[in-house]
Order: sequence, then structure tokens, then C-alpha cells
Amino acid sequence: MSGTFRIGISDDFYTEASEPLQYVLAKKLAGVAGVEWEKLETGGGRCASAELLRGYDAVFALATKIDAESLREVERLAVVARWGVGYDRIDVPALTRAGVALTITPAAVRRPVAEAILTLIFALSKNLLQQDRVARAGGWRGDLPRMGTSIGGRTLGSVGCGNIGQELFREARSLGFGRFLACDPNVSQEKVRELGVEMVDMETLFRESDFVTVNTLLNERTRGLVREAHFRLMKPSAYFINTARGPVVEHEGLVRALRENWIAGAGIDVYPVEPPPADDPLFRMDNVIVAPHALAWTNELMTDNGSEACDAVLAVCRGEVPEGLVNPEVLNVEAFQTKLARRRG
Amino acid sequence: MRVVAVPDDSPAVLGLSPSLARLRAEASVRYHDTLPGTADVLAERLRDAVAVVNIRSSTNLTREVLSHCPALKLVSIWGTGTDHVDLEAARELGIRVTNTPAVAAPSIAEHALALMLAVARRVPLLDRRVRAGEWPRGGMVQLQGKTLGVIGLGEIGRRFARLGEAIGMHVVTWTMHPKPELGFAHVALEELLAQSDVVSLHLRLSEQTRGFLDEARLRTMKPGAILVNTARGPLVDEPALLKALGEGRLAGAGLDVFDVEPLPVGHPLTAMENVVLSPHSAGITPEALEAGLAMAVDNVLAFFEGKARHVVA
Repeated sequence: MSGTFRIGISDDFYTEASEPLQYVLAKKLAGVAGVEWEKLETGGGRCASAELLRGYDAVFALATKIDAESLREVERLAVVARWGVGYDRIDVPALTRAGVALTITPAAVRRPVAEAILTLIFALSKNLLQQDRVARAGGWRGDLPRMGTSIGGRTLGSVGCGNIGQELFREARSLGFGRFLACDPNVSQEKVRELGVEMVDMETLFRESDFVTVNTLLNERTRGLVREAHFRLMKPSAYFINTARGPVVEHEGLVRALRENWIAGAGIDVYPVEPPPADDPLFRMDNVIVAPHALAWTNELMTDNGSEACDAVLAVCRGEVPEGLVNPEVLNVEAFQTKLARRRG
Repeated sequence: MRVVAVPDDSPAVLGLSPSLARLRAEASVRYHDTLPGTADVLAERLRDAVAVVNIRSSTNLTREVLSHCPALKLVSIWGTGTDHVDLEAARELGIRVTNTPAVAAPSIAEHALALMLAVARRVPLLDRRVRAGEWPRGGMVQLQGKTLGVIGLGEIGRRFARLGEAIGMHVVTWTMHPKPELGFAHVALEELLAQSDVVSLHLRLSEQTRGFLDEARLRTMKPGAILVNTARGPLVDEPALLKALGEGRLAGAGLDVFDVEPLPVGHPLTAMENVVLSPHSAGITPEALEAGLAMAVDNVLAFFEGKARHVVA
């Protein structure tokens, strides 16, 4: 190994996830020879500047934005390690051109997110928030506008059937659902047969599911993927759940579907803009559960994210190809090859 | 055709169910969607019926009423409670009484899971805060990999234990009558309380179990644990539970049942942020109601075939 390996940690970690960050640094990086780290002052998760990034071999990114301008004349940087699986705030082609690897943490994320989705499914099905409100206000079950319903035999659908979608189906397998549906252009029927998932087109999924969940990345193909017309296909008794990314869904269409009772309700953890404006119509609706893009933020999620991100960074530090690589094409970029070779010293 | 009376389907449930048509296919049904009101009207509605499907517990099937029904051979109760039927008189008069046990078990087990998940992820609290313009972070509890202690392994307890396993929890159980054939790890009660991240009660309420989770036992629970109770309120020492929640010894509770129901206005639980409450509604789903109606009708049909089921007297 040659030279000190410097890791920049985007400053939003210190406000949003300080405790797990300190835990992970102590557990995974403290005492590793030649590794140093320091806070990267981006100004609260804003776009990282090239001046900042030039001084590091690796960067831990939470919500930090990195675009082509951030990488201008950045030569030392070898890896951006995101804690999490979404990378919509990062310009991947620009990273690749600059010879920088991007890694994510799929193993850490899938179970906490799948459990968050199940939490919303069961809370919606049992009308739990209205039950809680009625009980707190001195009412009783006769005051409930709607009773809970049973999960037994219902159809669970997932838009996207990758890391998280498959984990959701795996955990849901013994919960009594009757049928699993998914749509995903990248996943074959053969790949998910064993999970009992039927791959269908998106229209069929919306038409036949009792719970439609969104488990896709946000990219140019998925932006606005779920539109008003899809909500029109849903059963009036069905629920819509989005814990992935707000812009995957046409928000006005969702609002209209809920307001006009095309669907029974929704569980929403993500929004077109975060934090959402105070006048988001969802906040005035009884048939919606809202959460602050944090439903999956268990302590385990953050520490597992951190461990997985550290493993990726340490692999690069040793001159090895990291796990969780988003842009494998970087392996063919000479600048990246040179950085790895230099680490192998 | 044999005469079956339905004297009290008000507000109508059987009348809206496909189960009524199944009954009509096998018997001449005297169906009433009003309450009888008086014993005389009730006796009139039951006159010459061989069986009665009893929908409401306000319908008192007293010795007097039963003895005015010489043809009556079966009372099929929709529900589990039998307080409104004179079982001794029924026995003496040669009348069988059946009920519909455990039909709500799947719904109640699911409700317990919903409460456990909602407490772990603070769902009602987050919802209130986001609506109020806040954007709170962190502090969620992950259940996968944690230990679930299930107390009582009747129909509901064992179903809930399976749901816990499905989401990746390590399940330990304690029951008064161990059932090794179910395949769950059975541990001593002290052990269960000390090691479980979530404790869920599925016991019957009796003089033996009243106050089961008392102050001393609550104190032996793992710090930061969650309590789920969908069984009966008086199984738990409620003031001691309030104290444990208030002091943060327990992280939270999901409760469908209480000492006093309906929960009185201004009860301390109603102001607590770390609890999720529901109005003793876990078993009331359309699916559970229909399963019960179907069983009440099946009990009549089985009796006609000489194979009485779910007999209580």
C-alpha cells in the first residue's frame, strides 16, 4: 500500500447519522494503518465542489450531490461510497469518465426497507392510524369509518423486482398473501419463479394487486413511471405504497386518486421534493400514512450501510475492485486502473 | 324441509352474507332482520324451529324461552360467548348449543403484527410530525433478527409466532401447557421476559391470569422492549405498564385491549407518544365476521347430518 488514504465524509452524516457514523468509524476504520478521514464541508448535503473533492481518495456520500462540475480536475479520488442504494444525486457517467468508482450498499438496505414496506402494508390494511386516532380521542370501534381487513389471500405487487423487491417477497412468503406480482424489464420470470412471483406488465400489476409497492431506482427511465392512468386501473380497495423515490410517481396523479377515492389509501415515505412543502395535499388526507423518508432508518440499517461502505472503500485502499460497484465500466478506464495499481504499490 | 329460525339479525350481518343462501338451500329459514325485543316475540319467532342461528348476544335464550320451543334441537351461536344462553336448561331439554371459536384468530394475529411493526417504526408519531411540518430522523427499531417472546400458544399465539418467524424474528414461547409438536422453542417465563425484544400476550383471562404481567414481571423485561397486547387488558397491571412506558424502561407498546373499555377520555395512554392504540378491534374484520357466519351455518348443517361440531352444551 502506498501513501496515506484519505476519506472525506460528507457533512450531512454529522447531523443526520452521527451516532452510527462514529460507531462504524470506530469499528471498521480506527487502527487501519495509513487511513485518515475528515469531515467534508459541503454545506449540508449540497453539491460537493471540486476544490473539496481534490484532497481525497474516497468519499462517503449520504445525500451529497456530485455532478460533472464537482469532478473538474479531480484526479486523486478513486471511489465514492454511498451509504444506501439510491444514486440519483450522483452523475454516474461523469464519475466513470473521471475514473472514479461508485459503490452502494444493497445488502444493508434490503431488509430494513422490506420491513418498512410491510409495516405500511399492515398499518394500511388494519386502518391502524384511524384506529389510534379514534382510541386516543375517546371514541371506540363503533366510531371507526372502516374496520381493518385481513391480509389472507391478498395480492402483493411490486414495481421493480431487484434487491428490495425480491427481499419483500421473501419476507412476505409466509404472511398469508395469495399472490405475488411484479414488473421489471431487467428481471426474467425464471429468476423469481422460486419466490412465487409472477412477472406481468405494469397495467396488469396495477389492475390486480391489492397492494402496489414501488421498489425501483430513480433514473431517467423511472422518473414519472407511475402515472395517473395507473391509479385509474387500481381496485378501489387497493393501497399504494412508495418507499423508493418520490419522483418515480406523478404526485398530482396520486393526490387525485386519493382525493377521489379511486384507491383505498396510500403509505408514503418519499416525496417529489424533500422535505415536502407544508401544503402537500397528502397531509390533509385521512386515508394516507406519511413518513419522513426515514421509515427504514433503523440503527442496524445505518451501521450495516456504514460497514458495507467501509468494506468497499478499504478494498479500493488495498487496490482491489470493491463490492457493490454501480459502474463496472470504470474498470476499463485507465485513470481508475492507475489509481488501483498505485494502491497496490 | 327442516325449519331454521334466525330471530335477531339486526343490524343485518347474516342477511348480507352468502352463508344465508347456503342455509336456505338446506332448510326452510324464518329470517328476521329486527330484534325480537320481548321473550314472547322471541318464542313466537322460534316456534316449530328445529334449529336457531343466534346472531345477537342481546337475545336471551332463557329456560322459559327454550321450554316454549318443543321442536328445538340446536342453538347455533354466532360468536364465542354463551352467557345469554341457559346452557343447563338446554342440556335438560335435549338442546345442543354450538358456537364459532377461533374464527378471528387470523385477523387478531395480523393485528398484533401490525401493532408490533407500527410501534417499532413509530408510525403514528411520524405521521403526526410530518403532517405538522417536521422532518424527524432516526431511531427506528428493526425487528428482523430480534427476539419475539410469545406468551400463550392457542390458535392466536401460534399464528402470531409464525408471522414473527416470517419477518425474520427469533421466536421463543411460554405457555401453561407446552406444545412441543408446534416446533417453537419453549423457555421459562423469566427467561422469555429477560431476553425478548418484543413480548406479546395471548392468554385467556381467568382468575389465574388476571394481573399476569405485574409490576415485578414488567421490571424483568429487557430494557427497551416492546409490549403487544391483543388478548385482554387485565392480564397486565396497567398502572405499572404506564410507569414502565413513562420511565422509558419499555420502548413502547401496541395495545388493542385495556383495563376499562372504551378507553376513558383523557386516559394517560392517550397522551403517550410511544404507544399505538386500537379500540379492541383486532378481531373485527369483514373476513373474520364472514368466517364466523359461515361456521354458524356449517354447525347447523353438520348437526343435520348427525355430526355436531363446536358443541358447548
